[in-house]
Amino acid sequence: MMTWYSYIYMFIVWAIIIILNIYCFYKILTSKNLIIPGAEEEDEENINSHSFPHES
Amino acid sequence: MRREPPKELGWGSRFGLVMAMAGNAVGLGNFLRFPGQAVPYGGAFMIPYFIALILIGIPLAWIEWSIGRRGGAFKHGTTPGMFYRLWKHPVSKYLGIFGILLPAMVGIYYIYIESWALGYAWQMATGMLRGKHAYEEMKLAFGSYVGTTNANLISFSSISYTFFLIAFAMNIFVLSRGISKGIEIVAKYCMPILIVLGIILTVRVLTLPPRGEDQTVSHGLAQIWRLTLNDLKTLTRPHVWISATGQIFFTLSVGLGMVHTYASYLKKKHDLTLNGLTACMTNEFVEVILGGSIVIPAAVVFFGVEKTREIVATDGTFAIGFYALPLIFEQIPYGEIFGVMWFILLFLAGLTSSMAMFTPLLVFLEDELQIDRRVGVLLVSFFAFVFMQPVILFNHHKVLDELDYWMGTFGLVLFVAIETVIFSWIFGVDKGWKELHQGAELRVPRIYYYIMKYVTPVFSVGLVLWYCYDGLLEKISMKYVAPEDVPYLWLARIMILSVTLFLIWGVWYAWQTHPKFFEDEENENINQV
Repeated sequence: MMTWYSYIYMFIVWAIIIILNIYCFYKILTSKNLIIPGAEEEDEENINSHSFPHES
Repeated sequence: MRREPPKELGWGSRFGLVMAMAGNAVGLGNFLRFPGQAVPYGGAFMIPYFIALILIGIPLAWIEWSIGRRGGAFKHGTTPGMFYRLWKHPVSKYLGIFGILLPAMVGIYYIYIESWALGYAWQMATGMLRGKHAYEEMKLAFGSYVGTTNANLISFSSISYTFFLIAFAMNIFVLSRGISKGIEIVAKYCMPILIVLGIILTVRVLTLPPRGEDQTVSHGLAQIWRLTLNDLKTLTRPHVWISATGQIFFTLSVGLGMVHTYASYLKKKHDLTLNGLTACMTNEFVEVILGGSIVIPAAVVFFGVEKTREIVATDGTFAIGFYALPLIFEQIPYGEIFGVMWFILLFLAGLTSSMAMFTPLLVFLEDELQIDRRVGVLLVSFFAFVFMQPVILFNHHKVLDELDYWMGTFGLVLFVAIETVIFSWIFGVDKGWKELHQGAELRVPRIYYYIMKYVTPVFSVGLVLWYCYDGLLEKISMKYVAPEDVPYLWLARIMILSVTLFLIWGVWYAWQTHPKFFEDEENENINQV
């Protein structure tokens, strides 16, 4: 049987997980750092320009 | 001139990326494995579980995202190339083979297990499971569904094979559509559906009326959340720490090479820290809140504490999911609807993980062996299908269990240790920290620098040593295996060995022939001049 402090333990853990989820999704959904397919990198370094050998 | 990946090969949106990463982590284990690990230790399990999440799981996820994005920058979508870019040693690229081998071999049996959930959803919907009133009856029904009850030479059942074919076709279709048009779309729709189904089932289970003195939801939740002195004493046993850390590895799908491949499509302006944390937290929501509130509380309400603990100890929580829950749903109003929802939930959890499992192999064929994508999909489908047959037909000889131990358990732990040592100690945490924070929207607390440098690799290596100490020799020598199963376990090992040899050859061949490695050498020579 759950005691009162077991319930507090469980709800604290649930609350932390839910708050972190809300925080993370809020930050992602309001972010301006979007992923735009085919967008060019700003800098012209050789690295971080992902392409694959089979591409034409 | 810079060339970009075709649209279907890159991510279409950030939400899709996070859902796909979360879907990759959320699997059958969230609902079936996690409660089974927690129950023997009571609420004490959750303490090492969260310590492992904070010290090992989240840093490992960030490490894999960083390795993946950095590898992608050098046109590598799989770990052989990624490890080579972190550590320019002849051995590094061969160590990276694990990142292709493990997900592909896990996928070979995972899709079959996932198809059981689809088959059971169908059976619940059509009332085929109706009329069974005892746990043992349901257990027998499952045996006849997978064909092991009356198996002689082979274990075959036309209904389970049909649903396997459907699940396999769905996975290959998603794989063939690429990242943004396949995996991302499925994850974007399936993950929210999965979470809604999970919430509905959680509410239903938590509002079940008591059926006896110790048959209440409160008694069920206590199996995972109670905190007594006796439970806390279990923290002195190493097994609880090993189980909790192992569960974190499995639940976050780290050490399988799939996160690396997904992250390889990102550019350095794209965030890793917030995306990685969000995927981990979504997984924790599904596992701890939903997964911890369905299977065990429902079983305790209907069977009582002792019987539930006995089932977990003898048959595992998988048995509760497939034998006990259909029985339970038979006995509540609108139970068939909840039963269908439960198995669809399991199927979606499986699908969002399995659809990523052959991606590293396909990307390896494309990236490093320069095979056309369509040919690659055909090759992967053909060989995956052939390799799945022994798993299905010799299921009663434990081929699936053998693959699961070497690929889904020991191999995963070993690969995690390898990648953390390469990233944290060989490549160096200083460079790794910089890589992680490029484009970051969330500044990781400085303490994680030290955690990644010392705690994560030491813990990962320690876990490998523990697995070596805890029964590895018995596993290798098949000490406790029934004589009639031995040839079939050898067959499983030959399957693993043959894929490993192919990948070793593939890596060797790629490094001999692929132009990008010669370009590197030329660039290095020019720089030296």
